[in-house]
Amino acid sequence: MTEQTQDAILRVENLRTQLMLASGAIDVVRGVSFSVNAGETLGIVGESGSGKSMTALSVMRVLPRPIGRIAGGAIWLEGRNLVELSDAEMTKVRGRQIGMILQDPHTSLNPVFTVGDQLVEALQLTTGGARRGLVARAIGLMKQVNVADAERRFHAYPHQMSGGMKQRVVGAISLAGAPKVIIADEPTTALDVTIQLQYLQLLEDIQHDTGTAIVFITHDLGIVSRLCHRLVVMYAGRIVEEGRVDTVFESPAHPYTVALLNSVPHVDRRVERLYAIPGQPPALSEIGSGCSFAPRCPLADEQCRSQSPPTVPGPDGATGHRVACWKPGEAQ
Amino acid sequence: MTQPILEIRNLTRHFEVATGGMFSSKRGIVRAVEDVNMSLERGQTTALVGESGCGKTTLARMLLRLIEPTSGQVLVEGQDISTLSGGALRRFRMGVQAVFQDPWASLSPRMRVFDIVAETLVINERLTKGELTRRVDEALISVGLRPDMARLFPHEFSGGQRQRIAIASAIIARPSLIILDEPVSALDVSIRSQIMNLFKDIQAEYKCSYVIVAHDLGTTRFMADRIAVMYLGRLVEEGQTETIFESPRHPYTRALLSAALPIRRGGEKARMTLKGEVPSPLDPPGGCPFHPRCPQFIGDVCTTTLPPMLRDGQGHAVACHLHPDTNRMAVVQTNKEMT
Repeated sequence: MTEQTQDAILRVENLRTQLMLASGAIDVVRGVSFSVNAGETLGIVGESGSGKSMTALSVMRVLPRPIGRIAGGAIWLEGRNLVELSDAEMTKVRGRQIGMILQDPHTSLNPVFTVGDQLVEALQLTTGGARRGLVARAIGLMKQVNVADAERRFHAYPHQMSGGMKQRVVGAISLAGAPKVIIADEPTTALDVTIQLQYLQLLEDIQHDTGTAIVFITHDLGIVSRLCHRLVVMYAGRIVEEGRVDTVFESPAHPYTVALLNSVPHVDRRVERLYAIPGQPPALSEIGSGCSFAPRCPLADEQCRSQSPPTVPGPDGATGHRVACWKPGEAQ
Repeated sequence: MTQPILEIRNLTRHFEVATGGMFSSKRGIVRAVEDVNMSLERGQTTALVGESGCGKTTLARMLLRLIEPTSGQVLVEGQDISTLSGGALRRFRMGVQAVFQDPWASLSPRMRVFDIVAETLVINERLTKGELTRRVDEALISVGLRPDMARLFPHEFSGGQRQRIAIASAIIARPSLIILDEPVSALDVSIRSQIMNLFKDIQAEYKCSYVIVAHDLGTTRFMADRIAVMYLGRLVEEGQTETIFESPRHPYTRALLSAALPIRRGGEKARMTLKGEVPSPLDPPGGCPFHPRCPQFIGDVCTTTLPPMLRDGQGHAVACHLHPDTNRMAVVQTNKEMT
């Protein structure tokens, strides 16, 4: 499902990721392809078990060891296939070419070092140089992510900071190596709404200043609407729909996307009853040969249940709109 | 007017905390809930809204008598719950139930669903085995589970189903008031709407009232008849849900609503981004607690004087110096001086 463009910074092709459990190998990412361009924000949307976080961990090559492994596909970053790099080479990619912001700022930072030390360490690892020279740059990074009173906070320990402030520091660490791509896995889930809004604006400002690409993983469609240029919707380890945010939100073509958009309670108007998708997402160990959404899909027929749907252009013909469905555009 | 199911009068809770180092004896006071007044009509839902540290969970816990207030009262069906003991306390424990956020933490992994759901009745009522089974079956059916699932353990269920079990155990004693503390935040998007519809069905069937603590404004708009907005332990605005969403008066409420991200673009109002963060409840600012972040700060009055909560004829109350209408009645003035 890749939009083949010249300036794609990161291009994932037919990625397959497996977890080796005692009960056998299960495919958690089942042939995922997407790309993201410089200065672009791509949203990856899905529920728990959809494979969105496993996709991110695969790109960073930080799958849980020893059970996780990339079973196939390619991850192209500036002409190199990350899947083929050695661990040592990959260590140099992380932080320098790809930055990562995780969900919980309380566990991303080391509690026994000051945030300043952790920033300086990140700078040493990514750009090298003596500690003394890096202090000023670390404070500069803290200012870039709007940490007020950065000179004093440089000496603070994580527990002395609020969640929003810690997440800013995590953002500063991910910026240390001036990465081309930042992968953010639900970075605002642990933050309050007014702080979340500040943080999303910060990400936009950083992108505006540095031209970095952002892959933003979330289950919150409101954030996607606010922040992202394009999105991919994942279900049971596959991409079921891809396109520009405007396109997908205005004319969603996959029944799952339609249902997801319908089931969100609206902030901007009152409804008496919410649309509810029946059933629950499938266990990844129990996926059959047909479309994995078929058991919950109001449109499913025999073909849907027996054959995996091909990826086709969206029925509205919008650029880059693709959908994996036997009946694209039929759900309301 | 009939007696409200719940009345909260000047409710205040302070916590004493150590503020020095590990061996210091320095103590500070966290003003978690400060002089809150509100009431809830029978069969209605009120939502407590605010950011972390605003006191909404402490308030909810005082309603359950899991935390005793420092001062003020909670009246359920006209009775001050702090005075209850013996049989009256047991009736209160049956009549006021709770559903918590995390269905992985709130259900005992070593109890079967039957025992989890039946527990309230086993403790508080003497029922025959047959009667108990009938009540458990009925509760499970009400929440969309099958009676034969009663013999299973919680780990055999998905998150959404576990929350249904928690709801079944809350409704089995036919409570008049259920406290819902972030009841859908731990669930997946596609499961949330099922559970939120279920809460509405249960309310229609059992005529119970809800107090819901939620940070997601879409959830509160769907669930609640009234909204109470809290900031640093105080109520800053309270009124009908539609009034609050359509014409919020307090600048904090406006900022909170504007931080919510609707899923459709277009026709967006200008967003109001607040500067800074919520101050520490150990040392709340003087005057209006919101004044250091307020985009509509009007001057000295904001820094020196706590704005009283004033209610208009439609029952919309707001505590802000921008809205000093003299024809509105002060709800209950801070009565520190009087006591």
